[in-house]
Amino acid sequence: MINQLENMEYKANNPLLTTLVASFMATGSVFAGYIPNQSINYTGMVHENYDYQATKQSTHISNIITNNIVFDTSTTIEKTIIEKIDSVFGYKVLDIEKSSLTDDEGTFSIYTMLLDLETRDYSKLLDEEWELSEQLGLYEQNIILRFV
Amino acid sequence: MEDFNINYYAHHTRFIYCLFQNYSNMNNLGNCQEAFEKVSEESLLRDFMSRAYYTVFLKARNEMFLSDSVSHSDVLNQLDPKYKNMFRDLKTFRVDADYKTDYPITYPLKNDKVKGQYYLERLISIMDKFLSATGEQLAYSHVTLRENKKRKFLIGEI
Repeated sequence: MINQLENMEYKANNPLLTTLVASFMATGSVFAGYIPNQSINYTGMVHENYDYQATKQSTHISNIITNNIVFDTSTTIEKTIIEKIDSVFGYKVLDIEKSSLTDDEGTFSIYTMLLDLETRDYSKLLDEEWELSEQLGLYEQNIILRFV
Repeated sequence: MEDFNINYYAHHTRFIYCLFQNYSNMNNLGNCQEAFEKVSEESLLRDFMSRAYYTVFLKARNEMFLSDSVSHSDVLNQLDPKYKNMFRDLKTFRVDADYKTDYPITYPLKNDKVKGQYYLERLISIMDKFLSATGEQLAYSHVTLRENKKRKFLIGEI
């Protein structure tokens, strides 16, 4: 539309039309300015999604704590392991899952634990996993730890 | 030839791992590509898990001077408990990767993809530990290790 008005002004060379075109172009630029705003809004939506995911994750974690999935395991081996992980290495356990494995040497209980760590050095974690197993004599009890 | 096998498996496994990471990092794809990505991700992860196990199996077998026809249980039985646990870990995932078809293995723990990524990093770390270990570190009994070496020497394999 602005292009059409510019053409009209060029053809008619009319001062009134020039003023009209100028005002339309000014309005148009304001209108055009809305387009990047829209993309900013869209970016904002993306950010909202990220926030949503973060919230969702932290809700999941808080659910674990508030629903006592992890910590309401009083007098069980899980509680001992969780407390030891905290006291020996200073890691919090966010989630725990128990599974079993049977091979030639018998049936093993595997405790897979999700640790509250920002970065994970698995070389170190694997050593710590074994260190704790030895400390608690877990291998003799057919218990395997997995830190993830 | 044995060294070639281990190197081949190690590089192959690393290659799959890198491919998996690259696929996982691609987020801005269209629907078709996303579908392709999901299928590829799943098969790459299964391939990675399976190869990681065979890599450490071959490494442990060779370092402990066991014969080529030895069973997986024999390798497991001769490992130090620390490595035994890691070996079991990889074996579990290998079995899941090769035979469990009722759920996507990309989400191994309570359908949480983030944790799946942790598993991958853990597995590659286990593989590194095995590949850098010597026979003395891997074997539970040094007496058995020496006997294995002697037997291999007598039959002319070393």
